[in-house]
Amino acid sequence: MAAKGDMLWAWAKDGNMLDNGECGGAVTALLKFALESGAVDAVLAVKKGVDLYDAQPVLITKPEDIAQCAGSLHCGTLLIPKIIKKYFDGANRMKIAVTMKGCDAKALYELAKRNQVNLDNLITIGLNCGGSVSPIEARIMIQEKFGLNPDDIVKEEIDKGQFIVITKSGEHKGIKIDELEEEGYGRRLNCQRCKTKIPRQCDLACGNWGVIGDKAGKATFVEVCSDKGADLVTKATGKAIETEVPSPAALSIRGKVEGAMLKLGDKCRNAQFEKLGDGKKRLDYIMEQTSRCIKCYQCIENCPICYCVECSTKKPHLVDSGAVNPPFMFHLIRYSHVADSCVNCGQCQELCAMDIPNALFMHALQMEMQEMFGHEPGVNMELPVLAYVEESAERKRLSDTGSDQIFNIFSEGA
Amino acid sequence: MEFKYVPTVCPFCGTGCSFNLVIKEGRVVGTAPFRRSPVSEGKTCQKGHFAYELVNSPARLTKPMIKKGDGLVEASWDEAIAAVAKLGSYSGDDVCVVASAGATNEDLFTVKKFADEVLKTKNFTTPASTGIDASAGTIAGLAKADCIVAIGNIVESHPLVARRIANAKDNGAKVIVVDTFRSPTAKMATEFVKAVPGSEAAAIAEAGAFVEGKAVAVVYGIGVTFAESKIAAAAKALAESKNAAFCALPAQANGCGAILAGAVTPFCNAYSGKAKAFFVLGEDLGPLNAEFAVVIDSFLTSTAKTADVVFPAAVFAEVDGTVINAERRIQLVRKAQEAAEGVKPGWMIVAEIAAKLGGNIAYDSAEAVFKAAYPELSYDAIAKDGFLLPEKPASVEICDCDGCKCDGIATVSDEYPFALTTSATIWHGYGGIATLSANCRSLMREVSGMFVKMNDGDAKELNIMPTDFVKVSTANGSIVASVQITKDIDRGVIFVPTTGIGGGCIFILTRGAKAIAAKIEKAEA
Repeated sequence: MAAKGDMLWAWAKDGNMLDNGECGGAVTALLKFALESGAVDAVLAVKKGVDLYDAQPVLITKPEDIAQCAGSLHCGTLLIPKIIKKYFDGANRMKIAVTMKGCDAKALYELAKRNQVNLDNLITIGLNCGGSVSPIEARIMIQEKFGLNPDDIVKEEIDKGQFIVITKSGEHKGIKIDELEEEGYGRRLNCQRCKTKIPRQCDLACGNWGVIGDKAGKATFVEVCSDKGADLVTKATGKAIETEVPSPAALSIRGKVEGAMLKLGDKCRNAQFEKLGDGKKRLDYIMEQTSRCIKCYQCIENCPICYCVECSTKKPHLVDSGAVNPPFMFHLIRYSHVADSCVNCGQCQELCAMDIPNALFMHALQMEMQEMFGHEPGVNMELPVLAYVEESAERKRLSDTGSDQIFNIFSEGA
Repeated sequence: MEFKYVPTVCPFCGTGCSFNLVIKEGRVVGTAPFRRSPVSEGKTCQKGHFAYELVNSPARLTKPMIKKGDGLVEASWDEAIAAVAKLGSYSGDDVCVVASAGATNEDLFTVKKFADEVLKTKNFTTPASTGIDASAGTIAGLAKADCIVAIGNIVESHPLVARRIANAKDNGAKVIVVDTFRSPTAKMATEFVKAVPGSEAAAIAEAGAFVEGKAVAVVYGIGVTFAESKIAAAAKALAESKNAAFCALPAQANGCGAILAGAVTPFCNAYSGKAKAFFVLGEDLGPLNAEFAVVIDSFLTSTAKTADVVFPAAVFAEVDGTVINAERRIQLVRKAQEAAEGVKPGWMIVAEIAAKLGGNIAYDSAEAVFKAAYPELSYDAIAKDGFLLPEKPASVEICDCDGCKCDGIATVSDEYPFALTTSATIWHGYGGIATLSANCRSLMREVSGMFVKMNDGDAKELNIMPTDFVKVSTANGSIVASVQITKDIDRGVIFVPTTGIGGGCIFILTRGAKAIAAKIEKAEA
C-alpha cells in the first residue's frame, strides 16, 4: 500500500519497457497501466517528431501504442496544459493521464484555478526537470561546442551538472552546463531561473535523482504526492511495476541534487534580474525592448494564464486594432493580467517573433508581487490576490475615495 | 480520438517559417509552434499563427463553376473540364498564364509544362516575376552581420527576417534602414535614411555613406509594384560596392521556386492588355476583361468572379508539396487534412485540363512531380531541415515596358497634393496571398479593409478624425479607407498598404506604381 509522502524506486515489470523506457521504464509502465486498468481514457505524453530534437504531444488511447512516448527529450520545450484546455475541452469529458515537467504542473494549476481544466479527470505524472534546451539552440550548441554533427546524436541527457550527448557510434561527450551557459548556450533562460525541479504538485513526481547502486539507471525514483498518485502506485505494484524502498543515502543524494539545482536557480535569477535594473531604469528597458513588438499574439496564444475569450488587448478602445507596433498598453495589459500568476514557463519569450524577453519581464514582476502579497502561483489551488476583489464594492470604494489603488499596499493592515 | 501535429510551411511571405497544424478527428483545428524549424524556431508572425483559420473557411470553393449568362453557376467536374476546350484555341501572345508565387513547386512546375507544351506560350508569370533573383546567405546568418542595410518595411513584409535584424542590432550591429516613413523597421534603425516616395533608389545610394563593417548584408523586401527591379538594382549596386551579401526577399511564399520553375516573363505582362485569354492558378489579378479565362483557386476571388470556368483547389494544409524560401531552402508542405470531395491539388487540376486539350502532364503523386523537377532529391531527404540550394550570383533585370518605365516620383499638384507611398502591411499579403489572409477571421478582426496612414497635422487641417473614413483618389481611381493618424509619416505623404482587402485594392489607385500623387477627403458616411 503506497501512501502520500512515500518515496520509492520503481521499474517496469515488462522486460521491453524495462530496457527501452527511461530509468527502468516505470513511467511508461504506469501510463500503460492507467490506460489498461481503465483509470483513464487516454494518455497525453510527448513523442519524438521529425527527429530527436522535435518533441510532439501524442494522445494515446491504445495500451499497445504506449511505447512511442518512452524515453526523454530534453528539447521538449512545449507546454502541455494549454493543449488540454484548447483541444481536449479541459479534460472535462475524458480522463487523461499526462506527463508534466515543473512548468507544466504549475501552468496546469493556474488553468485549473480559472476553471479551464478539470483536475479531477487528470492523473499527473510529474517528471523531474533540470531544464530544457530549444531544439535549434541545441543543434547549434552540439555543432559549435561539442564539435559533433547534431544529426549523429542518438541520445542526450542532463546529468551531474553536465549536458551529455551520445552519438550513433557510441561516443559520450559531456560539457558542464555552467560553462555552456556562460557562453550563451544551454538551457532556456527561464529554465535557468526555474526552481520547480521536482514537480510535487503532480500526483507522482518521478526522476532519476536518488537512484544509486545497482539500480542506477535501472529504476525511477518516485515521490508519491497525492492520494490519487498513491492509488495508482498501489494498484500497479506487482502488475505493471516493481518497487523497492530507497536507502537513506539515496534520499540524501536526491535532496542534494535538488538543493544544488535550486541554488543554481537562485544564482541565475539574481544575475538575470539584476540586469533589468530597478524603478525607472527597468521601465525604460522594458519599454525599449517591447517597442519592437509586432502584435503576433504568440505570447497570449501560448500563455497558460491567458484564457479570456474577450481579451482586453483586442478591445479597440484600449489597443488600436491593426496598429503595428502596438502601443505599450498592449504589454501593460499583459503585465496587469498575468504577472500575479506567471509560472515562468517561458513560452511568451521562446515564441516571441521579435525575441522580446517577455518571460524575464513577467517573472521579475511576479517575484515582486510575490514579495508584496505572499502569493506563489502554480503550487496549489490558492487563488491569486486579485481574485478576492469584489468588483462592485471595489469600484465604489475607488470612486468614493478617489484612490487609484485596487489594493492599498501602502497602508498598514490593508 | 485522433490528435496529431503535422509540421508545414507558412503559405504567406517568402521567409519560410514553419508551424505545426493541429489535427483533431481529421480536421485542422489550430496551429502550434514547430520549434524544430531551421528558419523560425517555432516562432511565426500573426499570419502564420492564424493561417489555420482559412483552411476550413465557409468561403472555400467546393465545386467547379461555369459562366452562364452574367454569373457563375456550379457544375460537375465533367462539365467544367468540357468547358475548358475553348482555351485550346489560344496560344503564344494571345494567352497569359499566371500563377501565385505562393503555389507549390509541384503546381508551378506543372503549370510551366502546361504553358510550354499545351498552350505553347512563353507568357508564364507570377507576382515574383520581377526580374530580381538574389538570395545570398541565410536568414539566421543575418543575426551575425555587423552592419545591415534594410530596404523597405521588412518588419511588416517579412517579420521573421526582421527578427534577425533585431538580433544583429542586439549584438551591436549597425542597422541602416531606408524607407519612406518611420515604419516599424525604421524605428529599429541606428541610421534611418528617409526616402522621398518614388526615389528609393537615390536614398539607397545615400545610405551607402553609413555602411561600415566586415560582415555587411543588404536586405530588400520585394513588393509587388513596377518599381521593384529599379530599387533592387540600386540595392545590388550598393551591396557590390560595399562587398556585402545581397538578399532580396520574395513577397510570396514560393517566390524563389516560381523563378526556378521558369516564370520569368515580367509580371507587368499580365496587365499589358495584350492577352485575350487567361489561365490563372491561385492569383488574384482583379477583374479580368478577357475573351476567355480559366481560374483554379480555393476561393472566389475577384479574378475568379470574371472567369468562364473556375476549379476548386486544395489549400496548403490539404496537399503535399514543396516551397522554396528567400534563402533558397526547399521545404516540405505536408498534407494535414483531406480536401473536401471534388477539391483537388492544383497540379492535378492542371493535368486534367491539359488532358482535355490533348496534352499529357499527368503524375501519380506530388512527389512524382517534385522528382521530375528535382531528380536528385526526395521528400524524405528534405523532411527535417529542408534542402539549401547552392548560392548563385545576384541578378536584377529591369523591365522597360511602358507600364514599368513611367513609374517614378509622385508629381504632386494642387489637385493631388499628397505623395502616396505603398508597401506591405503585416496583416495581409498581396493578390492571392490577400485572399488567404482575408479568410482568417483573426487577421480580419484587426484590419478588415483598406486603410491609409497620414500625418496628424494633415489630418487636423483636413478635419479628419481617427474614426473617419476617407476617400483616397489618384488620376487612376479612388477607394474608401479607414485612417490611421500618426506622427510617423511626414506631412504631404500618405501610406496605403500594397494589398487588396474588403473590396478596395491598391491597384485601383496606383496601377502598379510605387509612388503616385493622390488626394484625400472625408468620405460621406
